[in-house]
Amino acid sequence: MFKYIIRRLVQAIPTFFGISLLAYLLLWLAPGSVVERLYFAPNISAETRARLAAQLGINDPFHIQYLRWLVGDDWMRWDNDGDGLADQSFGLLAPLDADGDGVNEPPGESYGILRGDFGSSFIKKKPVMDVILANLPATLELGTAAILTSLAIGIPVGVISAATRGRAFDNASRVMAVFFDAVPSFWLGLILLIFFGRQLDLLPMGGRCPPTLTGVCAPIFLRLDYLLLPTFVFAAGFIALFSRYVRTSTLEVMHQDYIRTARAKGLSGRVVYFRHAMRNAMVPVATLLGPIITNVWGGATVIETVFGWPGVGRIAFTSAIQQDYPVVMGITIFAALGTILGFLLSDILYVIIDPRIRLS
Amino acid sequence: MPKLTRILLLVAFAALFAAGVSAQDGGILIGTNFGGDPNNMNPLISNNTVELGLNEFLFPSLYNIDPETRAPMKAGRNDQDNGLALDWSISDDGLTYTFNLRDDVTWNDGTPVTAHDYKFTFDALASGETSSPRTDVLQSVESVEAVDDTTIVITLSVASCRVIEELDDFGILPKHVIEPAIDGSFAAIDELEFNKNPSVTSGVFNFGVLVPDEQTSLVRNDNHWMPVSPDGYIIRNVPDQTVGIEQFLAGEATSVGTAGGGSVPAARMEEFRERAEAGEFQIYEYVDDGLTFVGFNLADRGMPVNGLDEDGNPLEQGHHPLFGDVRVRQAIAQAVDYAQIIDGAAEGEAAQVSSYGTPALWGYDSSIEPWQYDPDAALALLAEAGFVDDDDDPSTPLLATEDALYAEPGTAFEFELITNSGNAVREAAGTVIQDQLGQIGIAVDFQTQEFGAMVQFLLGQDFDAIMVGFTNIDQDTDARNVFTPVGDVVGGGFNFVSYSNDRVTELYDQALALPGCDFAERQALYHEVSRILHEELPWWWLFAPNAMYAESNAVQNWLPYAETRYANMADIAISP
Repeated sequence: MFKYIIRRLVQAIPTFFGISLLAYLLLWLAPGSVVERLYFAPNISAETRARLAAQLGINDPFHIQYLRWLVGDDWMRWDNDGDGLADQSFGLLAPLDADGDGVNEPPGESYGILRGDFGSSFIKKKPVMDVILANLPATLELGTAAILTSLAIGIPVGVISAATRGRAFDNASRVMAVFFDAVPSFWLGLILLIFFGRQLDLLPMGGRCPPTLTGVCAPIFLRLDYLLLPTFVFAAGFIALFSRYVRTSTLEVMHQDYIRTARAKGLSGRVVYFRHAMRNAMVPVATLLGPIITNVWGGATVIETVFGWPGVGRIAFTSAIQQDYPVVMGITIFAALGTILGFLLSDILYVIIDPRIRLS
Repeated sequence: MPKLTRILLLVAFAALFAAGVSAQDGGILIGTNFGGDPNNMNPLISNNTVELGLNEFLFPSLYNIDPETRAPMKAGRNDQDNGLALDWSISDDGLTYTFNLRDDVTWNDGTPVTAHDYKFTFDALASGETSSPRTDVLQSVESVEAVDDTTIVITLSVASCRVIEELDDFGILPKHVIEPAIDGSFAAIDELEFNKNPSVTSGVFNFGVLVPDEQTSLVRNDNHWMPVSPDGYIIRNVPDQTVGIEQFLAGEATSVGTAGGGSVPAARMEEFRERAEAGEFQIYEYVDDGLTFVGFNLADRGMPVNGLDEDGNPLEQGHHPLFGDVRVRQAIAQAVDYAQIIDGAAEGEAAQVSSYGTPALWGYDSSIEPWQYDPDAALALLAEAGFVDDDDDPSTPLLATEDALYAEPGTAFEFELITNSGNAVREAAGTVIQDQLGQIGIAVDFQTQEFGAMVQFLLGQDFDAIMVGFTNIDQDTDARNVFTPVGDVVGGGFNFVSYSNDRVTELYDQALALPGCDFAERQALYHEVSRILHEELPWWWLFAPNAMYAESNAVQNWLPYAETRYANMADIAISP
């Protein structure tokens, strides 16, 4: 299995480059820029906007911007005499006096993502990794809660639906699954917020922590009320998915010989369903789990926005709108990594759940 | 606040609150921020409305703004605002401004705020090394000198009455904190930790903490030169406006929006009026300083050319076949029922405007009657301008005759109207305009473009007509960047419609260089500009939206003005 994992990771390298190139190209092709978005006002002159654009390097040709993001620019233009201005450069890539004002440009300072430097956010003015890591705990908190909730509800509902095929519970679970799958999360979120938050005054109206002057957020067990609604809305779609997949696979498993044998041995229905059938019925869940973890890793944009949940999905959305390329690219790479690891995890779970499967 | 939360809060955080906040006699304001985080609190670099709104409570400025007139105002001793100038004088030639500053304002570490702080801040700006967007003031300022702790002398290279506004366009930095931290390089200001966490400030509040995408807090400055009542101000980051409003109605926030902005949306204003009438909360209404308009491209779209050459001489720009003729623009301005636009696009919550600016601005002439709906007059003007209905079928476009000034005979009256997608107000307004102009034989190809794409069309002067909106228009309505050839620069200038009128340029010049910069005299000059722009319609003046602050009844001594939610922050008390 170890060799398999290594091989998969090596195969991921060209995938990574492909994703990064495509994503960067798409962003570069998008009309307008962060400067026009932030400083589109008649009282800010064209010269000022041009200066700000030059400071961010967004007017450079595509290949320069991509290379700088990938491998940095400290080797493109550097300072030997320590006067703060570059005195040597790879002329074609980075002329010493790029803007032609008679003064050499400052030396390059970025190292590129291949050397662990994801750059700085144009908007938040801090390293991209700091931006992502600041919001990651909230995303993981919500995502983990949503996955656990969906597994805890979806699997039993699926098994019981299979056991009660065609009866009231099965029909009710089908209706529930269709509803949860079809209802837009922003709508469900808003309705639940207004009902439980304002009408019943039982739960807080969004956010992750109570607002305080100190900004200190209580441990999660003291603010479960903040987690409840976003978790439910996030989990709703997964519950629908898990319950239907588990129901189908359980029905399939129930016709297997070993289940008949278990029944013939006189085991109770509960034991047959939950001990013998369920494990094998879990294989499709393992298939789904990888992409779902990926989904969670990248944040839940709509749900985080409706509930004011400070996760990665929120910054992905706002950064894309604001054309904050470094952050969008950072999250893209982050999500790509999550996808690769998520599918790898799915494969490994296959083997654990069904020993007959061998990785090759 | 919901009961469950309240109980948890009480039990789990009593100790934390006690440690982090001093006695809660004034209470805590909680605002709902629908924009991004205040990522950069450095007043030189701050740009979004939340940042600028908070800056006012943290950093001193050169002078106060009269909340009623929005004009520069001399400060008084023990004034709770952070304006420093007790008075100022202008030399006869208009080139030298001398400011006499207060001596009772201190930073929260006890260090006095002096003229040297202002000079240091200005020098940082003038270096051009920071990412400040406010460098345009440098066009007219030659030097800034701190004569002593309370006297600043500013010398201009050209007389500019507008400079008084630009000189106050940025808050003042604490020199004694910033200078040692940047080691002589102003460029280092962009990277200072101070920008994220300004520890030394000088307003009614100290900066508390920013929790990304969650909240920002300010806490009472106990060292302020006058007593401050509120314990603090929390700005919750609430990306969904509907949720923010429900938070307010549920009592989780004391206001809709923040000090930097955030009106009750038009669709809910009537409901809020009724509820305020019933005593549920307080509201304050005004006409916003934002303007929605349609810009007509007056030049030949096929060959965009700058207004002036390098030596400042006018360049031939051609004429737009339709909008090059002022009669056509005037006809269009009378061909649309404005009530329908305002009802359809802005829920009836907007005021029609007649010229550049809005009633909230002192340079705007409210006495000018806006254009009125008169389709007969519109058709008559179009006929005079050489556009006629050749088949008596209003569903087909009018055609140009030999009398048309710039259109080839036989040219159909049809044009593209662009706006940015995602703006429901403009999208609805465009649809109404398309429908109504269609009724008199003007075919409008209404298109929505992604904002970035629209800006490229706009700045590239590659459009027929474009609907946009400007917010936070400068109080001084000198719009030479917008309505004189200086701003007619393809690819970057804001005179994207290529408008030129010598009298307008002359009036702007007079208002800029008026000896003594008398407020009333300048206002009269701007009013004349307003009348010309109203008649000539380089922009088709549409509307300025109504704005509404909503504040909890728990907020006592609330004193709001247009564009100023809290005019007396130090006096506010929040009842439990």
